[in-house]
Amino acid sequence: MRIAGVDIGNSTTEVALAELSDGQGAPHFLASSRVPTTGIKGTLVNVPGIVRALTEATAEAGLELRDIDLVLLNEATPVIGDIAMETITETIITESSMIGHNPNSPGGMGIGVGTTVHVGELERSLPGEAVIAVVPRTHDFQRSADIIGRALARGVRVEGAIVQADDGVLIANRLPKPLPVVDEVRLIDHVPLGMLAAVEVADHGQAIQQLSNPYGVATLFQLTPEETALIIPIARALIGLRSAVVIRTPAGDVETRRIPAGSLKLIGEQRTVAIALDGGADSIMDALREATPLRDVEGEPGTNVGGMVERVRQAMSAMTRKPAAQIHIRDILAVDCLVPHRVSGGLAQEFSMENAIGLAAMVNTDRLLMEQLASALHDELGTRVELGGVEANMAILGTLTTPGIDVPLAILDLGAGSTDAAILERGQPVRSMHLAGAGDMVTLLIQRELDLPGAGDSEVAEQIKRYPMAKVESLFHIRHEDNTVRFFEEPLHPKLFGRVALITPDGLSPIPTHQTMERIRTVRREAKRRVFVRNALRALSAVAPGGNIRMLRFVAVVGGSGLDFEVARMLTDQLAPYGIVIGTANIRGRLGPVNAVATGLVLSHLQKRPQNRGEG
Amino acid sequence: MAAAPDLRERPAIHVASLGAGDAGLYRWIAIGAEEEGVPTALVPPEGARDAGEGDAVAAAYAAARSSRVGIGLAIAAGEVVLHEGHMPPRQPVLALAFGTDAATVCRRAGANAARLVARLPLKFGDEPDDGADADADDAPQRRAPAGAARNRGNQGNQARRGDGQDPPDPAAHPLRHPPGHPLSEHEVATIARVVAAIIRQRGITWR
Repeated sequence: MRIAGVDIGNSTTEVALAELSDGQGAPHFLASSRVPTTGIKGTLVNVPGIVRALTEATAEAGLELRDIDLVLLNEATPVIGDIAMETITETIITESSMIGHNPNSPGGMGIGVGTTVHVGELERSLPGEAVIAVVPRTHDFQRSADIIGRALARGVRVEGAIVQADDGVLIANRLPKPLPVVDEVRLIDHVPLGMLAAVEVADHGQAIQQLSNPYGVATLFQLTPEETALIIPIARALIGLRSAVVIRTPAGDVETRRIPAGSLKLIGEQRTVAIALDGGADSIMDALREATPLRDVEGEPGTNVGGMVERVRQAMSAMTRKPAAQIHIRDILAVDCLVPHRVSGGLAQEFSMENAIGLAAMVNTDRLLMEQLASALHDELGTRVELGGVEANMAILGTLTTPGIDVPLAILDLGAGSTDAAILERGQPVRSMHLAGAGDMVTLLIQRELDLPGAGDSEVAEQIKRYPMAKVESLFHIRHEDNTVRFFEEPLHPKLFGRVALITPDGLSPIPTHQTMERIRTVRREAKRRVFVRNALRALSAVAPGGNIRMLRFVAVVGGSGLDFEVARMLTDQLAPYGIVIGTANIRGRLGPVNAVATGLVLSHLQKRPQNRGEG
Repeated sequence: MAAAPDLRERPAIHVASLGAGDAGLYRWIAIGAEEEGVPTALVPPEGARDAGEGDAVAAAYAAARSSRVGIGLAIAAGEVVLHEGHMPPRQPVLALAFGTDAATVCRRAGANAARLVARLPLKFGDEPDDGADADADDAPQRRAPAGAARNRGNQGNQARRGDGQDPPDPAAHPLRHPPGHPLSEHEVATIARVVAAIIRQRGITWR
């Protein structure tokens, strides 16, 4: 008889197809497949994905769908996860008063202070007057440089220029003396005229000194101590830039507004803990430890976190078709991050780094849904469909097919939506633990921290998570993350030149960002560390005997995120001190970390038959 | 930016001009490179018999080979060719048709030549600046290069001559238009196609 084990995960649906002989002996595995899950795991929309996965597997084995005698569905981990992120600070410029950005090529260098004057009006400025020329795109570099040059010759003290076009170097090169020129200021019309302004351009490879220092700004504008306190957010936003302008407007003001972040109420079986979000992710996770085991989580109404928790609940309620009041959040993972946020009121698309908190939440689903799914699948296929067994047990069974593994065995299932751990010890039932936050959370963190194209289209972030990078240094060579160089026979595409590119199976793919490779790498690794490593430790200590990770011997990583090129090594580094054998599972000796549950389903069916002893 | 007495003395991007009336365009190339901080020098065209298209590539290659920074440009009738000394002689880095605005194309070619020297990503003019200071309001625009970039990744090493003249990727087609210039028939057709696609995408119908 031919049976198919089907594992519906948050992001992929996997199938193991096997032939079972009627007599003794191990099952003969015919084929495996892995396709994206359609819809949310455990809902009826999964059926098309399952059918596709089964079709692929049967085609690989040279069979038809109707040749399958029995389909075994996993009793899916009764959890689904969702993620949300909110910034908890925001910088607002109430009146245009600063420009801080890194144009590719600002002109000249130094610092200048003067009154802003439109370049067309410069001829009317009086000798001795200190001015900053404001040059819109309508004045090309030659004309502007001529006008500024004539003004300088008349004795007008032109101290610097703010330019709309990418003409900074061209203008600076045509002036009789070096002046700082900030260019590529798109919203030049918004630069107030007749106001005191300071322009600073740093030398190549350096960052501005004066305008990023509150006392520097105070010196230039002769500010009182009270006024100096007000400009701290400006100075902070300008740190590390090569060029900047600060304009003093009468009511000009930049503030860092703290959005009421609110608090989370963690309702545990034994005790309830309320924790303010501004304390950061660590304090939330500490509070969670106190409240565990969790019954539900509530957010303070009318605050960001209240909205966040409500959104998760609504999304879950829509998915499971259960009233929102019956959706209980059983675990959360909070992660601190710094996200670039457009400064409202900025003149050149300035960004400031704002604090944010990412939250992954997990709710329990019920078995009823899986039964509905099984019957829908039966209607679709006409084949017998059974619920095969608890996912964690199946995963353990499947993992045991990895060569060199033995009990007591703990597995770490790094999926897309949740991180699960399970442990099998001799003579004891399998214990398992499901935690919120996994691959999808990592993708979200990467997307937000690098400010990549946003929600619903996080494919770039997903690829950054998945593939290593290289910098294209010439038309013929790239430099990998580990500094090794690789040469190509054929010239690379000019669009790749000078960019950071992902090394995908389809070739090099440029990342649409100006961030350096080092920065992208740091963000990527930090995201993985804060989600995978942290959750791995949480999950393992939850299932380990006596909560002591040292008591574990074999730990195997399974699940789609186990395919990740660096997570297994990060986990090894973290767990090595505990003296544990940890590695990526190799299901059936050749499939790597995927297909554990599907394989386990087939094996468990074998165990159920009285005349056979499974190989588990 | 006049040519030095001995061209071998000073590292510079070499520019060869084929035919008459291109001296004005050399100025735009020099300006493009100057903004990026790299010097240029005008050199006599070599390897070219007449102002034919193939000769522009040969002249650009010869200019690149004679340049100490290994980058050369050739201005020909209707196009500017950017070459790099290590590339196969017949395969320039970029060949850009002037279209309606030769000055802008030449300035960008000069900037790209300099960016090759400076090892910065090239500017293609057809894509929004997708960096940190990109226009975040244009979310759909910003997404475009990501998708297009993946397609390009698949092409991998097959850099092709004539990229600027006949872009294989419709997303890479220049839709930016300098104000004050009338649209060419081709550009109008492109815009009409894009608008029609958007309308179809949104499911808008009219009678």
